[in-house]
Amino acid sequence: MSLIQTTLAAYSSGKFSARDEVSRFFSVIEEKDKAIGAFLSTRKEKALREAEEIDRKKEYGKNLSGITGGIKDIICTKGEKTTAASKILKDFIPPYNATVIEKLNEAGFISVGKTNCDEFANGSSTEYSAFQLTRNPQDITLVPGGSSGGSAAAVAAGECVFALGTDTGGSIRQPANFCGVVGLKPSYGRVSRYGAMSYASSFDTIGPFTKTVEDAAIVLSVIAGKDEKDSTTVDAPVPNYAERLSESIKGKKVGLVREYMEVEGLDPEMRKVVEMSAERYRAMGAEIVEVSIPLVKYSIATYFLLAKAEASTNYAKYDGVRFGHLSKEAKAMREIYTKSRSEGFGDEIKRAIMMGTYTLSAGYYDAYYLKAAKVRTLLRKEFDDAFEKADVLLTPVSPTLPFAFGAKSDPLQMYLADLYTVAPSIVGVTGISVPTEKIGKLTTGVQIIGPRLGEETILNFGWHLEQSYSS
Amino acid sequence: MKNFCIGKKNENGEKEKTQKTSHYRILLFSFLFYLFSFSTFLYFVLSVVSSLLSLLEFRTFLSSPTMLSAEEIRKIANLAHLELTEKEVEKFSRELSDILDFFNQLQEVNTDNVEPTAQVTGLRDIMREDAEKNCDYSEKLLSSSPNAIEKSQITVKSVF
Repeated sequence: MSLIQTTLAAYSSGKFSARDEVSRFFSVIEEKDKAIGAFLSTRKEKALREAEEIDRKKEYGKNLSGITGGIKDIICTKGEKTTAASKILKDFIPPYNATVIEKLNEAGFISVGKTNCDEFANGSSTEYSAFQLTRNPQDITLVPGGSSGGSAAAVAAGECVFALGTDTGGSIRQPANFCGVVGLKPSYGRVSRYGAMSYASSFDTIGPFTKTVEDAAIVLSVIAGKDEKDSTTVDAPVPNYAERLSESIKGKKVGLVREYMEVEGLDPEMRKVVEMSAERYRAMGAEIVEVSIPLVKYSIATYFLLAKAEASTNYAKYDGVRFGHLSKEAKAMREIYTKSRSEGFGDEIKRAIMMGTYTLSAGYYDAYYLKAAKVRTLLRKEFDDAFEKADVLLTPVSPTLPFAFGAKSDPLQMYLADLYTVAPSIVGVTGISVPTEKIGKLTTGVQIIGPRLGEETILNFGWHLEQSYSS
Repeated sequence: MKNFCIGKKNENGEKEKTQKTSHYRILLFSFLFYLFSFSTFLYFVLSVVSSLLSLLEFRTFLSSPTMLSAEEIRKIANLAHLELTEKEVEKFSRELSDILDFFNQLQEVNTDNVEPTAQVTGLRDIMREDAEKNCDYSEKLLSSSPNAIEKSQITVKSVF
């Protein structure tokens, strides 16, 4: 059942107004967010004014009229603080909107605020935010996942209908899984990145968190498409993603990736969750096939090597000159750079910059960066082959259930938590995280991976799985 | 037999010579055999040594990043315009060594004759019309700077 459609219908029928709805969401935020910490900033006054305007004009016919959304604080919002959860951009106010914000505005959405995340989206638990912790609404002693932990938590806690996150190596899919909501990472190039602060430019994507698969489809239909401000967006038609959700999947093939299922660190319960979904697909008439992608074994090394290298070049622009933090200690030009950066960046960003600088430096470039870029080619080939044998791949999202704060204090251990989400990012395909089973009090789920621009297919498969649990 | 004899004077002489010839032949054969086996042995020894050496070289390559020294960390930080405290140098030296060591597993993958991938869209040469456009937020962009603005330019501290 789509929350967006239900709300739009309620507005049209006069059951309640957009103002009622927006004010209801703010009372949830006021009640819960002290404990959850999903938002870095909220915009109650503006949101209520926008809702009143929609009510006054009775403008309920747009795709997201008066629908509340939270925006990851790495996506630029005109005139409203955007910090990337970094001290270096603590007071940064963008003079323009990201393309996705322009598109959401056209569709009538109402932003409730900006959500917390790992600094510049580097991380898997939102613990690397320079400002605050976000707690998992399912159990506040656990992390919400990351890097888009605030967006996932906001939707899970009912603080907004949907939220936007960014996914470079799992930053939408993993927190969605940890918080028990739907999270969709579009194919690279499907959604414009213009106005989203870069982490790794050849991996970054923007996508939605929602309560239902249909809502994810609705939001994706609004934000997808070619943008002349992002030359990596593809010129492929944007379908109404919500239209073909219920199409039969009978006879279609669901692939289980052998190497993913055999991983030693995979929690047996999480493996079982995947097998249970496979069983449901079989019952729906889909065929379960085993596929092999041997190189996923190397996906974490490949991903982090390439992503941190790209990151290190992207973070060169934070230099205390054009925007962001300027060190008070700086006495000469070079100190403006070094002191501003050293005071402004947190540990993981410093590690990213150091690592990238090293792996891209003369003498090491061939052994590291170039080698990983070649493995990327081979991995793409293996994924292409897998999609010859299966329509979608069914995998875990994370090897474990959400972990406790401080559990991954070693950075390498944090990287290893992304085992199941980095490979689709390396090859640029699409993936969706769908909540399915409950383990104890925690809702967890599976990842459905589709080929490039296969969003309709994974939404179709995701919808059927969701239906099988709701009926 | 006769064909192999060198000189044939009489029966005895012939026999003698034949015996002598077989001695020479045995000597020759053993010499050749010795030469052969020695060279094989030499080859074997050399190849073992060289493979050991290359293994050693490979191992040095594999293990060298685990020893990212404090000095190297400072050098990288300098290149990246970062100032690190002594504590950070020590911490990053350890953490980055571990991570680079982890990256080294990629050396196991055979990537001979494989082209690198830099982007996944397959798009090439995306152009737009070279036309003038209104950019009405130049002043606002400038006002994002933490430094003073003078005549639409950012002023910075002296270079030296």
